[in-house]
Amino acid sequence: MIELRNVTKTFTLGKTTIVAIDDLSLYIQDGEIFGVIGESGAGKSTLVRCINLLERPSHGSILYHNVDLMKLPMKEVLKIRRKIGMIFQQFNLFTSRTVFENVAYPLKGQSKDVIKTKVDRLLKLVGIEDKSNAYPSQLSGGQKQRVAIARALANDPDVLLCDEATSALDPQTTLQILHLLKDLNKKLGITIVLITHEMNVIKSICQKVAVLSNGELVEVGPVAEIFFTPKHPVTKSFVNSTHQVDKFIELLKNPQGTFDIYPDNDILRIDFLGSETTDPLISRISRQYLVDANIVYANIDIIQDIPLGTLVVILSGTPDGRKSAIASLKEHVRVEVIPHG
Amino acid sequence: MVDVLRPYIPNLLDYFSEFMISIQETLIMLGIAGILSFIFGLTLGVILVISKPQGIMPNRLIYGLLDRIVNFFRSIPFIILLAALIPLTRLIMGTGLGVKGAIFPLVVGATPFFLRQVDMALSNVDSGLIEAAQSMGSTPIEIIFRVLLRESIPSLARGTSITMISLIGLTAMGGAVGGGGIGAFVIRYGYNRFMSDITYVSVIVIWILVSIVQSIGNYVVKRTTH
Repeated sequence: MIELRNVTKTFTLGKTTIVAIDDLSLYIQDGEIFGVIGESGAGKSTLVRCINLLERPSHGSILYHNVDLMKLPMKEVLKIRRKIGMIFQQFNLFTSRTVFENVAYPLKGQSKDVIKTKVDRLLKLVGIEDKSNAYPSQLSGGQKQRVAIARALANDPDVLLCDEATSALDPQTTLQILHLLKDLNKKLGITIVLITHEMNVIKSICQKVAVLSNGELVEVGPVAEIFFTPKHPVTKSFVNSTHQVDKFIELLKNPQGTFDIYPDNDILRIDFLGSETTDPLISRISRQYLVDANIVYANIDIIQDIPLGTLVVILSGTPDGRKSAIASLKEHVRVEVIPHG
Repeated sequence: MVDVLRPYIPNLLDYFSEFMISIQETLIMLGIAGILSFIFGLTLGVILVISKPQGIMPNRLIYGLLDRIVNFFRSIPFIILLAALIPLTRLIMGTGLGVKGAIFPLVVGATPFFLRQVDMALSNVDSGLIEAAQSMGSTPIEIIFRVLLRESIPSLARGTSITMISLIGLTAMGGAVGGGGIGAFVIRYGYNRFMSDITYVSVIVIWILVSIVQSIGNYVVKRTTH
């Protein structure tokens, strides 16, 4: 369990002081996959480095299993760092060492047999046992990150910090690495703190997400909830980056666009979560209020096994019929009437 | 054999035993000064790199001092350094002449040069690797030996061969102020007594020495680069 309490980190560059993290508090539970998202420069890399004190916060406390790391002598901090693995965007493998030697690096001091057994097991766990004697320069990006993960796991840590771990990888490899992380989380029960600027990464594996902007925590909560009801503008723009609905609505409102919208039409954006999806709402209002509902956009995301849908509907019918239909819809799902014309 | 060569290198054959001794002296100077410069340069180079403001053990005082001393010594032409160091050389080595008198100034001349090579090599180690080692709980000492030095072996080998080659040049220069070795031999006969065959053969010997050093350097670089 990790807790950050009122953490502030400032950097001094010449005469100017930059606040990288501003009075931030955060709680990460054991065994969860916790995402931190923010634009570049938002302070997320600094934040993750504060957890293992690679960056020492200017103020505040870092609690690891209720021990304040800030109050420990460096020698103890080094010991605890062995229990907090970390992987990086650029993999940071030792170029002078083979895959085996890289993974064995943190195990120095143990007997040769123990190291051999352990490294072989780790390489198998991350699915790269056949590259044991290769040098990092002979590996692809995804393979390098697998080695880095094995190395980070060598001391059986209970936390794995991932600093933009998939940002240097292509989309396919990103998915594979994310699956591996999710798998490790399940198999080993390891807590994962994942820093990224891509909402899709958060969407695919995180249970909780914290949104960072200019060093401040602007929103935190379960991923599905943050996706369904983003509050802060920064969160909204991240959520929008994962689908096209806003772009589509712009296109819809364009008078020269592909769609004919009449003044007596209503454009509705409907968002729904979980079980609401199973009700045949649209056909029901259509029958009940004698309106036509033309579904022009539909998207369903699955986040943490919760389906999350978005529809854009052009509604036509009598003014009263449309009004009652919208009111009826609003009882079940979130409806936004988009102004037009 | 000797008769065949006599028309081409008459003087060298006359002074052949002296020539062999001078080569031996050069090798001794190279060996001792080389090893000492390597040890001092590497140690001080590591201290310089880790004490840098962005290093793993920043120390402004040590870094500033070391950096300035290195620049000071590197700015003195070696021939002047030789003369300037004579009193100190006598104090430390007991003499300012011959092989013994040359070793101290050679070390003073080559150490700052090698130190900069070490500086360059270690500074080029990706800071991400140091960060990774820190995240695994490595101590600064472990980072020096298991990351900084180990990762820069190819560039250190390159720096060592460059330093050894420039040291060969320096040993020859030592001949001008009473040092020993091939340089002194060439000045004594080839230059002062116009025995140019001695000069040319010496050039070939030094070229062979440089080639050997370079080949060893290249071999190590090749073997350690992955």
